[in-house]
Amino acid sequence: MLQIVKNQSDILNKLGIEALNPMQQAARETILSGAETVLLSPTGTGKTLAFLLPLVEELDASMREVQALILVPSRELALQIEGVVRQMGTGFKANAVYGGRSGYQDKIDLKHPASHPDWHAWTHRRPFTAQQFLNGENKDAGPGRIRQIARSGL
Amino acid sequence: MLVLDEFDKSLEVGFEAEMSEIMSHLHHLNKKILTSASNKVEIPKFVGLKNPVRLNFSDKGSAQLSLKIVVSPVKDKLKSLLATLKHLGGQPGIVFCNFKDTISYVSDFLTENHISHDCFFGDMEQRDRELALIKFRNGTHRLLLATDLAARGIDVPELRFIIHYQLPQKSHEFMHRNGRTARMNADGTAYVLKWKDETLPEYIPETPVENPKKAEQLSASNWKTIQILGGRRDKISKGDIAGLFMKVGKLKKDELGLIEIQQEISYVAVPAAKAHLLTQSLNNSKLKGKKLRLGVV
Repeated sequence: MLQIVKNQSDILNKLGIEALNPMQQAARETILSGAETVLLSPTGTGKTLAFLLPLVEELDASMREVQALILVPSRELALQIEGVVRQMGTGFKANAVYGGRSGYQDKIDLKHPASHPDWHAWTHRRPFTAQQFLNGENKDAGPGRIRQIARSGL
Repeated sequence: MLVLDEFDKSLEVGFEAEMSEIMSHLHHLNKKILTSASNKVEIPKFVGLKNPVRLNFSDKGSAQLSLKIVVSPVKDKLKSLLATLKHLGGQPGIVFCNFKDTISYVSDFLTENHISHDCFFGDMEQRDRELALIKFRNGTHRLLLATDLAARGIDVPELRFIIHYQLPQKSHEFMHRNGRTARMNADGTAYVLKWKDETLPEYIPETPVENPKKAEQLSASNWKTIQILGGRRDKISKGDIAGLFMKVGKLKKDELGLIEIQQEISYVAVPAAKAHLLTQSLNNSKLKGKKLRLGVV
């Protein structure tokens, strides 16, 4: 059994961060209060950590199911968030699921969440630029990988 | 729990069918979190938000970002781009274009002028897309030509500038592009490249003009990227790879660049001059019982 780390100062240590900024502090309090949250904050102010930290605190180590889903608009952003989750060193498993790689691999990753819970940064669609979309160049933007998986069941 | 990061992008017109289908499959959601730097969308009913708490920190604009205009005397802005890049002297940055065709046009020109760079857009093979970002992050390429695919979320702390070779249609996408630099208390500059007779959209504020000063040809990057067939699945860690390159490869600590471990492949940045010798001497060495194959990418 992997050791689960939820302690905020341990996680911040691993990330090399001294303290949360006021935005991250406010986000944490609101999210932990149980409210649904809409967070607006400028680029580069640490929004990813603002939602990941309280999310970790809410995960239940005794559950085997996927407990959190993070939907993002590009594959590389999903990979980046997966990387941050790993860096946090919480012991919870994270998986980026996205198009452009073998769907078979996604199934393996999802079916073996090991003995601890699991969460995911998923893209909800095949990525393309707004311009390509306007030009109608990406009509098969339709069922992205996550839809395929949602349909076939986890 | 569900997080919609960059929610105003995911909830843009055109994605309703997908998003509402995904949401309909997610039962027992006890918490929803929506985040972004912009809010140019009305949150659709299917998201099912119940009395959400809205936290708005967005009035505190980035004080560290400076905005500058570079004026091209002719309609073809390539020469001004080149002058701007030389003026910036090989710092890491992104050049944003609106179309992949523009990217290949600019890319060809930069290649002719020996400016090392990589491209990043939606139609590329996934492996090439990821590799472009890996090589950009570890300094093998200090310049990335990208569409708005790179405008949101991508975090490269060292990034010193972005250049709008073409401007986006919407002001919030302008803001997201600019937001790739000047992150977390760091400074950064966004350059708008316009030709003399071009009228800038209203969303561009009053902006000082910068005249690129004459500068030397940019030197090549000091780093190259080595790909290792072996990764997380083989229980290989960053420490394992650092150990191999320092003990067997005889690299000093400051000669070891960024290490990225993926499921099956890992990437290491090493001094360009040593890259080929290192791949030869470390090829077929073993880590965690796995025989490694190395190559410069």
